[in-house]
Amino acid sequence: MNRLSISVMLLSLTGLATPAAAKQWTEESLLANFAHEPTVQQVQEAGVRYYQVHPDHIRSMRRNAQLKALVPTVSGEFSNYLTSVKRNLADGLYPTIQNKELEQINGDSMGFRVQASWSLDRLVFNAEVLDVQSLIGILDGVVREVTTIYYIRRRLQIDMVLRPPTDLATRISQRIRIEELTGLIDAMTGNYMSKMIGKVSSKQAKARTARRAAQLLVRQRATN
Amino acid sequence: MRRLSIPILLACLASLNAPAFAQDGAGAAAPLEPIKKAQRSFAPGIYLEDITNTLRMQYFRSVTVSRHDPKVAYVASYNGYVFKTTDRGRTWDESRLIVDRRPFFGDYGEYLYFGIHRFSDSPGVHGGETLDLVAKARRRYQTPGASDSVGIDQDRHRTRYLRMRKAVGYSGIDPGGEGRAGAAENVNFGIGLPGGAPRLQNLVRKFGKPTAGLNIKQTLLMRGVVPTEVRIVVEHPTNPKIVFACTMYGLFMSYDAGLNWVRTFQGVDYRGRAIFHVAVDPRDTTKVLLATGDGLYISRDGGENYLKATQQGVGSGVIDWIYFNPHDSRYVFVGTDYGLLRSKDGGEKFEWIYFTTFPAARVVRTIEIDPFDKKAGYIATHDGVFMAPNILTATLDDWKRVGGLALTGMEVSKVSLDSSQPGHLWALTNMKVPRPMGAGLVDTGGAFIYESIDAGNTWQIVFAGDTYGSMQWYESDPIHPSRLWICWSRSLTRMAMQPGGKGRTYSAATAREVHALANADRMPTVGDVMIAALRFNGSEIGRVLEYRWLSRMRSLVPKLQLSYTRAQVSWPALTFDGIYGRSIPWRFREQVGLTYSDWRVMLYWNLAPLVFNLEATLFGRLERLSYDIRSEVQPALLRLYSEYRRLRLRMLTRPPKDLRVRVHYKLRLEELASYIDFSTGGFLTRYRRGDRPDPFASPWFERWKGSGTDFQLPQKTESKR
Repeated sequence: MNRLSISVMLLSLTGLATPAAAKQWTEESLLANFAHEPTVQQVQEAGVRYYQVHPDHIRSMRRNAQLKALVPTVSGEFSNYLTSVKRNLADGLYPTIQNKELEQINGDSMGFRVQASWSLDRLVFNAEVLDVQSLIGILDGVVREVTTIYYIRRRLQIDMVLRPPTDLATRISQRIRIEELTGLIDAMTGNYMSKMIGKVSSKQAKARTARRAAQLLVRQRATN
Repeated sequence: MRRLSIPILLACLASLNAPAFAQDGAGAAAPLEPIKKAQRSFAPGIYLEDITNTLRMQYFRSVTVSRHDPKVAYVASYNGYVFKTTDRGRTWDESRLIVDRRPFFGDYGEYLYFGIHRFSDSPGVHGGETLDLVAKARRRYQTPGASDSVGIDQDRHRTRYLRMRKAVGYSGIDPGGEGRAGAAENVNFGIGLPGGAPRLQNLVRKFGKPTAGLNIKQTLLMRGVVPTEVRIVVEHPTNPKIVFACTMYGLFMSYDAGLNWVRTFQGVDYRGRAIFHVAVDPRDTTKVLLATGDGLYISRDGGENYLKATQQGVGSGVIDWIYFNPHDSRYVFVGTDYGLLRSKDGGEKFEWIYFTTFPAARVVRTIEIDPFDKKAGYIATHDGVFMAPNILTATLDDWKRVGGLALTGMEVSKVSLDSSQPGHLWALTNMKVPRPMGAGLVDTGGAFIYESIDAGNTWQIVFAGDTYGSMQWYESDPIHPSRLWICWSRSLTRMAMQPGGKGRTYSAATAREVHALANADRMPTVGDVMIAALRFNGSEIGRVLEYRWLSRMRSLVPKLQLSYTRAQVSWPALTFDGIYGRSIPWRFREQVGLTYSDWRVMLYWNLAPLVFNLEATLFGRLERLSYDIRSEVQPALLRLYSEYRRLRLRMLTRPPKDLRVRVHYKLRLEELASYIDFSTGGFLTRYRRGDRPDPFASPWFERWKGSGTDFQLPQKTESKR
């Protein structure tokens, strides 16, 4: 009985050790760890803006394609020409006179023309508007990829907290993977992720420095 | 305590020694007698549990459940990914092995590529491929205009590299795909001198300047058509950290249980690059056999280097499967497109043991030996299943068709046996017929898992799919070998036992929420989401029909031309009259000046499109574009939004007890909601507000009002949440 009870106690103690570590976390506290990082919506926005396929951008291109029909094709022309006409008239009544009339006309003409033409049918329908559709592939691809990588990274971060690898090699591999995914997001957003995290980190670092400085001052005053 | 402990101990000992399938009434010492009929996989209480949560949108190829740790499984995909779970499929992690190809929609059939190639630093893999390129280089030297000089260097690799550059006209990119094709090398990709200026490119290179000139077509052919199929993942028999991924782009290995991958074999050409299977000798784990599209390869250093086998039958051609006899690994069986070979000495010599003149029947896809009698062998062929009573000594005449006409003519991709119940078999079929236009076969919908519980005499369909797609693979569960993990092209499921006990009861609030979710009160139907997405991106059929109508009607709108002309003419004239000769300088003098302005308005109509307009047809480029977009968006939304709904209901009705899984699912819900919301212009968010907008009113590339930064939850819906 003594041995049995000791075994049961040992087992329960082992059982308590593991869930105790996990019990300190709740969903909210776990996710709050990452509150300083950009949200997925911000990352999506950064990604599509970086690739210049934001719906606003596509919409403005589409609108421009539609409205371009209102803009005419303008042509201008300037002309200047000189003419010279000579007329020799011989009159049979005066056969002795070689040229009854000799006329000389020098003309000078200058003109300009401005022409504007509108293809108003394109206001109704312009196939170029639909060509803009091809950007949807990039938009959908970028959004899906960025979203997927964002959450793969987040899940890995959570695994590092809840199930940290026990051996060094795996821990390093996991960290490298998280860095790789951060790099991928950066590549698709123009460094947005690292910039935002860096900003928060530097703010936190400044706040920490300020706190330490304040504490030091208080101690100095106390000693003085 | 002593009185109690002795019977308990005896009972434990008895249970340890008792045979698993002893008949009732048999004593502990009775010999093992298998039951006559096994129990089916779908025993009472077994259901199919969806395990695709947290998996990205992919077409799945196969599933491999770890024999070292039953919580671990790997899933291979057609799009270059390997997924791994460590909790029996509840959550997944991913690794991208090969670039992900996505439609681009610039024009029909164009693609975008996501990802980078992983670097292979394995020695001794370069030779064959380089020979191929050197051969090309030699041919090029014979053509006029080609450079005659080859950089002679001490370094063989650099020489080869220079030759390769000159051979295929590249600069900075290894055309054989050996190097890392990441951003650093791809800066020259497709930029610079056109492919139609080879002399200019050569001239620039002679000055030692790198050219960015590429033959775009050649580049895309060699780089752009990368096969991304990961066919199967194979675990090392003794070391769970070593995992192989057989892909159509070479063999990848991981040394850390799937965290990182490196390509360790890429073949000599595209045939050799196609890896169908790999197997490690359980007796000698340094010996690895590789099944490729160009014969069998053998490694004697654990998979670092490979040599091509030269034995008859395995020296060339497609090798489909390699099977080490698990009871005596001196016996190796190799399934090929021309039959089955056996080796009795661990792969040194092979002999044909199965062959037929029927082309379909001689394609051997998988092999398995009965785990109970350890002699009967089963093979899956493109013409059903065959069996030999003793595969260790079988010859060509010993094979019998299994199951009669049930599987005759069926392409059977896999046959396997239940290790816990004798006589329990499964066979995977994907009925295909020859394509009417072009080579290859096409799925017909005959994708099933068949099951037999009488050693193959009779068969029944146990799984026929649960969504559009085709049967890809299955695997027996190591904990419950009678149950399967099923890999369908668009779904992953696992046979599981229904949780026992009485039916669940929920609080009134939860019941209301479940009812609201299930009946589209709080979540739109999948059809509405799809319509909203297609209307948002402009590829919805109604919009396309509008365009077609507008493209015809625009002929009625004229072109307008407005012009203004102004001219000034000066026309002085002098007339001399001969009668008066020179006595007067001129007779008449005239000065004519003319100024005119001209306004002109012109309208003209091109009425021919009223009769016929390519933009209005269904075969025009625009329709093809819309078709491509719909084909991409619809399956993605169907899959992802359905997962979103299932997961929300799951979190309401049966939230996971494990914190990690619960958080993962919560994140997954966020992920899916953010993607779906973005793709539909905020349609989901409108539902959260309590609105039920008409999906057909989705604006084109505009977010719904109130779903962006102006999003505010109304007070009354907040209280419901």
